[in-house]
Amino acid sequence: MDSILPGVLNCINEGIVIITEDLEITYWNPFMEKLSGKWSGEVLGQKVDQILPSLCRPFFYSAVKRLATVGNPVFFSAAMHRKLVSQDHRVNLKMNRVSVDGKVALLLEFIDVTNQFQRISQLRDYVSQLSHLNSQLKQKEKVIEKLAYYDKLTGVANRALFDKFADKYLSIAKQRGTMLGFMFVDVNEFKLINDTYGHNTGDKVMTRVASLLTESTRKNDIVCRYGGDEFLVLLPDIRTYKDYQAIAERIETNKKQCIVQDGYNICLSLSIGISFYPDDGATLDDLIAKADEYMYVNKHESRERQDNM
Amino acid sequence: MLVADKISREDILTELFNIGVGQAASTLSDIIDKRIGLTIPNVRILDAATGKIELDKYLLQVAEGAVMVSSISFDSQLEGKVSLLFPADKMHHFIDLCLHENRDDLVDNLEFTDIDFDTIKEIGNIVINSIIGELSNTVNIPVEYTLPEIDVLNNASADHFVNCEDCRLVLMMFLAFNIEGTEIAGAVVINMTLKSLDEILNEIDRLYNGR
Repeated sequence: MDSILPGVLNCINEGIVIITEDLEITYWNPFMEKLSGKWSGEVLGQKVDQILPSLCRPFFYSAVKRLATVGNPVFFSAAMHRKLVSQDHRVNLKMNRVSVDGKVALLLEFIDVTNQFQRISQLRDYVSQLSHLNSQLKQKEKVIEKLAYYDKLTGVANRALFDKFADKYLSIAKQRGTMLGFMFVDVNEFKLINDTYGHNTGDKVMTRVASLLTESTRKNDIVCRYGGDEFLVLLPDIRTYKDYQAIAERIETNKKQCIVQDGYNICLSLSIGISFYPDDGATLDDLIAKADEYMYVNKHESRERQDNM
Repeated sequence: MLVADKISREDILTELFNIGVGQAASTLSDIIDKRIGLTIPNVRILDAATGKIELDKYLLQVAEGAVMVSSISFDSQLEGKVSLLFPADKMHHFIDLCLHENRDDLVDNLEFTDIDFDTIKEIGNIVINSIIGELSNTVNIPVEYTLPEIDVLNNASADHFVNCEDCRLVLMMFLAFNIEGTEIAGAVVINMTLKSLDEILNEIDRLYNGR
């Protein structure tokens, strides 16, 4: 049996080193030659801490002392000890005590885990790439959502988002028995503003109107650009007409101020029509049509007032 | 056994284990080249049932009951099992501190690589060696064991650690690791036979109380 043991140790794919209690190397297998780049002939009889200078540290000496006296095994990980045998290999080191005929030898097993490190490093790179791609996708999703649901010029909701919320709010109003307001807003003489000050200024005025409506309404109200110069405002959870009046008064106050845009003094005039669920209809089409109708009445009245003035 | 005797034995064990973990802290500091603090505030000797209740209290404080465990069974004259528990969600940060790395993306993740396991195996080996080794040296009773097994347990309960039929007693202690101001609270559970603990306590009495 004894005669085959050296042959077995020579075949093992682990660096096997046997040392005495005072660190002298008595065996150095071929795999250890490969790991360290040092031939058995040049290291036998030498001190292991001289051949592997990374072991020239207090923790190694106290581990050897404890192992030799108490005999409990020791483990040094490749992660904590980066260059145990060479620059190119990452190895775990296991140390055990072997006692034969009253003589104590220390068995050092150097287990090559370089491939593990490479594989984990590759996986971390993939995870990092995936995480980067994921955050890019999330950003793009946000952009797509913005394009799909928000008006490019004014930044307020578009019809698609309005339809989504109008359906939802109408169902809630029906369940809870609350009112739902639809406010149709039209910028009077917008064509004249475009013709007089140019389309660029006209676009900016449209954006100012959208801001005016957003500032005058509540947090949960939805301001939507419905068409060229038309806005629809969805007013959920209206409990009494006073709730609506408060909003209408804020719009009225804000719109009376003439605005300065691109150096021009432009006086805004808005026509507003409002319909309420359930008084003016039970479907979205009915309620929007009614608000539109009231808006045209308001527009007509304001034209008449202007003509009379 | 008088209550005063029991307190005194627990105090002696606390002192002994602190000497051991002090050496472990010094070894780890040398390895990772960082100042490490390692203390055991107190050691309690409990019967298995009370030990389980106390351990479950600790596990309840750990996120999702997930712990990383280094454990070894030991035999020869002393018989039992020692487990070193750490909250799993803190382990990536702990490992990063030991390896001088900084991987924000992995913090609080409960997935561990073989490299992480090997790192904890080394730390577990050093700490357990220090605790059991110091005890074995002091009472002069040999203990034999292998390298620790590392595992991550989700929803761990005390039954995982106090489960040996013959081991009726539990030595329970908390372990505070401090690396660069980051404190990680672990627990050490030694489940051992009555005979083993009796041998230790008798030896302690002989050494310290002259009985």
